[in-house]
Amino acid sequence: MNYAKREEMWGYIFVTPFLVLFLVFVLVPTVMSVVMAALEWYDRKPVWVGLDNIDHVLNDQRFWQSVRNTLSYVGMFTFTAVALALAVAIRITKFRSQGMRQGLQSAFYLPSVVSLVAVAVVWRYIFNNQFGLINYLLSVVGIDPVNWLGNPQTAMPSLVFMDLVTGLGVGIIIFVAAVLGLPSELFDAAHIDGATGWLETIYITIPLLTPSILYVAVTTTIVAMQLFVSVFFLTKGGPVGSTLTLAFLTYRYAFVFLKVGYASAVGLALLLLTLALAVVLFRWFRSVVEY
Amino acid sequence: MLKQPTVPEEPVSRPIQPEGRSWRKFREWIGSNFTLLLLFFWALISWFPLYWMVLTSFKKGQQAQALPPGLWLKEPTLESYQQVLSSTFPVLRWLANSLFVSVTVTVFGLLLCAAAGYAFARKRFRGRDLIFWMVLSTMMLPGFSRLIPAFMLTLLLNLHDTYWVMILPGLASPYAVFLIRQFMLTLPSELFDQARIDGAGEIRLWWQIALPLTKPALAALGTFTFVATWNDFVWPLAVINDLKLMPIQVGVTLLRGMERTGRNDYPIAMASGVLMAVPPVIIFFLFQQYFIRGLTIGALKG
Repeated sequence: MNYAKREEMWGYIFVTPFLVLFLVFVLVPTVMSVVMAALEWYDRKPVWVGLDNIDHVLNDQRFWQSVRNTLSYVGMFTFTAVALALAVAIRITKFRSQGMRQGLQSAFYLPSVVSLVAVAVVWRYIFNNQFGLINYLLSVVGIDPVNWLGNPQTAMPSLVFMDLVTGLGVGIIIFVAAVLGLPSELFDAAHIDGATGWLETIYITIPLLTPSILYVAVTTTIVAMQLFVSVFFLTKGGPVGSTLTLAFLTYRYAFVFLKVGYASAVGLALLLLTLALAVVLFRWFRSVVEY
Repeated sequence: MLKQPTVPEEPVSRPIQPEGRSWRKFREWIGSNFTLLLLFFWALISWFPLYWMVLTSFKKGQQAQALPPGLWLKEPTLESYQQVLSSTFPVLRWLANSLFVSVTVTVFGLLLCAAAGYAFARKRFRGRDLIFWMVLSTMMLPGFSRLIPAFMLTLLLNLHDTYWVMILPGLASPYAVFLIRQFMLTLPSELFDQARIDGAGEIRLWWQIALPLTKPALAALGTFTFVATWNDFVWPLAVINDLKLMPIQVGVTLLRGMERTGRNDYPIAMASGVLMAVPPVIIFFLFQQYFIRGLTIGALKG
């Protein structure tokens, strides 16, 4: 056997174990997610129903409500998360000592390591109407208690706030590394031209960070589109459907109401919507970047 | 490094203003340290829920609804931990299940993905770029949309309520393959050529040359995989119904105080929360240096 042939054979040997599992548990389910929207299941047996499920979904008010809820969550969460993470990260890079910077990165990442299940239950306690901490603090200042999770106006913003408090770690770490990786000559030149502080941040640091901002914005959007755990533990989609998200709707139809076909169609909508958002973000950032 | 030139807008000494001087100074201090304050404020906020969880877990039932809520620990008690561990549910078994599944997925997942990453980075074979592109493009898709297809698939394969169904899907991680490939691309080819001349076989090239040099990426990914598997909730919730096989994340939903919380249940719920938060936190502290560096490998090259 010649060298190239052997090389090729070993390539396949190394890649095959991964590839088999990847095919079965990633690629096949991805393809199935498209097909399954056209199936309904009776007794573990699929029946082809064509566009019935999709028709159902598109005429269902709850579906459109969860599209609106999901998008409003993603809008609020992604924008604020990227902005806050960027602000915190840029401030961290101003520390001269490397130990200080690493310590701060770790400190900001730690809350993201704790399971969302645990975090969600703490927040239900903090948001509690009668003896929760937030309402207590408000009562000290003389503000009437707010039923944070029980009011359709405040339920979704409460979830956004909760996820912001725990969800910034990855963004901060990536932004810190990105800022430290920028060429220092640019900053020296800017100093000579008299740019300092805010000017430097707005006109030099942030434009140079556009690729990292895009990366964090896209990954944050993908995660935010799948909002499930906090809804599951805090609101169950309520009150009056104000926190019903696409992921929660998918889950509930598939595993509570056992309408797998309908749920698959919602899951497909989640997939397509996420892709569309990612493409929009890419386009938008490309128009902003000036290289 | 050059000394930064003084900026004309900020004179070193200011003319003394007789009135409102301290107020003005205070405002200036706030102005120039605004971002620093934001930093510490945010650090405080993001740590607070964890502090609150630990604190409440040491309280007695009624203390959790006392007003004003006690911000410090008075008369700590292990009562709620005892109640969690002595409940009729097999809580220790759930913790052991989580540990077993997370360790298995981490070890075998890393091996599989390191082999694949090695092949993508250092071997030439037909279809390589197409396969790699396919792996990459699935990273952009929300995993949640695979939930139902994967559920039906594993149901038809009769895998539900087994350890396999929690382990196998976690092994093939496109993200891990991508990261390892990026890392292995940077290794110098001379090393491999030299070892080959010395008579090393293909397996040894991978195991004794490529893997040791990829340690930083592997440590980061290992931490990441362990934490993600330990914290995974939706997938085991869907496919595990057997009490004895549940991981802790799913099991706790059955405990008093988790899904619906009565007035006295918060300390119990918080104690369960602490129990399931401790292992990932320990792992993170042990490997944080690698972890922070590893997270940025994929992001900065892209």
